[in-house]
Amino acid sequence: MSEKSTITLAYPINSCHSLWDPVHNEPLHGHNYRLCITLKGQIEPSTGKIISRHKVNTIVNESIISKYHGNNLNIYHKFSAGESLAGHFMDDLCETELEPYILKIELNETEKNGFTVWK
Amino acid sequence: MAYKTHISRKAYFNCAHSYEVPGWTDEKNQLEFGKSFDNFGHGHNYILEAHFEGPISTETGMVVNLRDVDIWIKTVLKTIDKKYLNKEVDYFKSSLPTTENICKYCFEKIKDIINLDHVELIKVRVYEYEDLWAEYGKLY
Repeated sequence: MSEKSTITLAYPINSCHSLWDPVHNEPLHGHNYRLCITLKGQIEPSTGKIISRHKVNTIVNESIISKYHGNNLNIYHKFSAGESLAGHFMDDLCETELEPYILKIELNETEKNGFTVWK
Repeated sequence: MAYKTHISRKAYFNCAHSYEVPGWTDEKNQLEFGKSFDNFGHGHNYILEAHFEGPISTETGMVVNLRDVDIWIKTVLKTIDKKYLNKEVDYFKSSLPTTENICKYCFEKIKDIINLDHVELIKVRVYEYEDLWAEYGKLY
């Protein structure tokens, strides 16, 4: 396996959700989620980057942050457990120009809970 | 049962850097790099994590003595710690000292310096700050 390069950017998403299913019985509550997006690719010789930070920030703000940050996640998704949310966020990101670069995303719900989804 | 084992070691270093692509207009540099586009530089408290792989020695119970790991890492970081990378480190006179390139530099230099056959450098992670980090090595 030859050497590869990745860059990871993390974003806060402060949102609320409730979990009602055969396993969970949790009324509305909130989290300071932390979304870590890992992107892969070649380091561009002129810029020294895999991808422009400005481009990533713009796309993530448009596709994820503006939608979910400061909002109720259940408005958008029936299942809002961490692993389901990570999958939904991956779906959202894969519809953007970032799709070819995505390696994985990690969603931290609390200091104890983390969920990783690989594309 | 023997399992594949990695050990990792953290180290800290502080550098200054700035970003500019020669030949680009000021507007293009400004859009790409924002405040980082200037000649005066700015700094970070970087964190390096080096991950090594190897068998656990039946004599010492270790993959590698961290004393050796520290020597390797310190030798490499000495070349960049407390420096303005663009101006004082030859590697970064032709490659912008972005998080990706600093990570690649550290990986290549640590790999070159390892003097034990049974230990392999798997990857290096460099945090520029809490919400931004790069990795270089055998990743996927």
